Amino acid sequence: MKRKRYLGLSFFIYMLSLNGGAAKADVVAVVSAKRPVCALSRHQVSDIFLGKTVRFVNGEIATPIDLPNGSAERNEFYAKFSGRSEAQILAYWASMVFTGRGRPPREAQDDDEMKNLLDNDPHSIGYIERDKMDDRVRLCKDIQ
Amino acid sequence: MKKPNPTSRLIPAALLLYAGSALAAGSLSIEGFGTFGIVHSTQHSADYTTEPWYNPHGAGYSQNWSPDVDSRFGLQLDATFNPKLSAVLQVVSELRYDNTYTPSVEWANVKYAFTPDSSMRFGRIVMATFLDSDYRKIGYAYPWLRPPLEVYNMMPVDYNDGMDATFRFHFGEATNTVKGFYGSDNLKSPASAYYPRIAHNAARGSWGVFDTFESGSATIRLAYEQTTLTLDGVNSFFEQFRNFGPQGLAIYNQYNAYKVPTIFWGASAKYDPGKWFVMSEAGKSSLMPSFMGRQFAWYVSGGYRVKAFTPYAIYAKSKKLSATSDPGLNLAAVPPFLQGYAAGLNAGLNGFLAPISSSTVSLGMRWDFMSNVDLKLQFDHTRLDAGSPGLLINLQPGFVRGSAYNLFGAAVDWVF
Repeated sequence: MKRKRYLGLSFFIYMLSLNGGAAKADVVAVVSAKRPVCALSRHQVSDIFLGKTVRFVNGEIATPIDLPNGSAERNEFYAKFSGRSEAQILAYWASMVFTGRGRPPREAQDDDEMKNLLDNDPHSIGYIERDKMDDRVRLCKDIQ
Repeated sequence: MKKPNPTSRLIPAALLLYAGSALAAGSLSIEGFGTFGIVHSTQHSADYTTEPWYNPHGAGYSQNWSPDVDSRFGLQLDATFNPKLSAVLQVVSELRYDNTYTPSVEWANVKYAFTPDSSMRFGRIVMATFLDSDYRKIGYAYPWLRPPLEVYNMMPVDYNDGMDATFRFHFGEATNTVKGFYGSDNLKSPASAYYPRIAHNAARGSWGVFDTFESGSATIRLAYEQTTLTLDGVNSFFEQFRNFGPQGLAIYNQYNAYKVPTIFWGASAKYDPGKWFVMSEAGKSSLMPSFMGRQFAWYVSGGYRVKAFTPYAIYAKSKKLSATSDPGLNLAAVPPFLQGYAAGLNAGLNGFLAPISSSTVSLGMRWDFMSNVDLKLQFDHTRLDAGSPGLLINLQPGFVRGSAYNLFGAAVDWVF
């Protein structure tokens, strides 16, 4: 009985890893290495990128930086942090821009420019693939 | 005529110069949006339109497949002078009261942000009566082909020339946004059978408060608006009752459309975790004393996202809460040679008092087939309440009040 359940569970985990592992990159939220610490829930990261808040938890201004529209990292980032597809994010910004409520984040051309922008501005926050991180950026701990 | 004061010309010039130099440090951008849609109505004795107050024709009687109901094109100029000061100008081309697509200014305001969470705007601001009201012309921004008319057409005021102020508060991961506005509005309606000229409508001393609470995937919104509404063309009909002594004056006082105290309450709830959504909104309006009286309307909608497809459903319903008929002038008390005229006025009065309520079931699908472009299909079945022409216009002799009709619509929306 017990063994059967473990079998079922390990099969479930195996299916999950098949589903998530190969195709999608592991995209993480990062800030400038000049910030001593970054700990944000996924919801807080999503709110900063959707303009619902403009501050880090400690009250300092947070300036989000996006990767280009259509890039795999960007789509993965929004799917993971806000549960929304590329089209849903574009539709959201259409409702904000055409009512004068807000504008989407500035865009970096690629992950190298992203890292440079983060390096230059301790208030900025971005996202990259985990294995592209270097000493210019600091990983945001996911505090759930 | 008074000669314009030379300084009154200098001030705009100076402002332009200032704006130009301020912009050197800021940025300027142009965006646009559009919808091309066609819709067919099975009711051939009247016209279906999304803006019954302002559109001269639509689908059904005038056009078999109408491109004029949902199609529009908009351009927006955004100027950011510095992080605190910005301005927006949005111009929209769509079928308007004079049967042309002449572009009209939809938004034109200057925004000053005291902090990232508090700002004021001065100029033309589209009314945010319901959740999607201020972007209802940007089809790309919402899942439906068009917002449910029973609810979104409750208030005839589209925008406000004046100011608004917004304050946003954060509580942990939740935010609460309070917005207040003040101003006025001038609107034109097409010529009609009872008023053969373009009619001028006015909302004066408008103010209101909107409160939006967001936590996680949930949004709750409460709205209050009030204004004083004058419908020039309609009122010219009611003025005729004043020729009939005290009983005519009493009818005029009860139903006229001149400086009508207008009060609106609205409530909205939405849950959208990403993969699916449910939302519901309700509104109650009171235009008393006037022929429009009191109305209640609500809808519920849900959708599920499967890859690039979002099938959805809407059920919407409106109801008139105040008088739907009136005996009118007592013909026995009217001189015989005026009885025919008085009977005509009584018929007209009851035409205005008839409910415009209906219920609609809509089924549709949004397909996001490429970046910044979608395709939508929507089927609507509308059942008009007893005696109601609904929001249909151009009613023809064969039209039956209280009947039902279907709509088939298709649209492509884009933003750039």
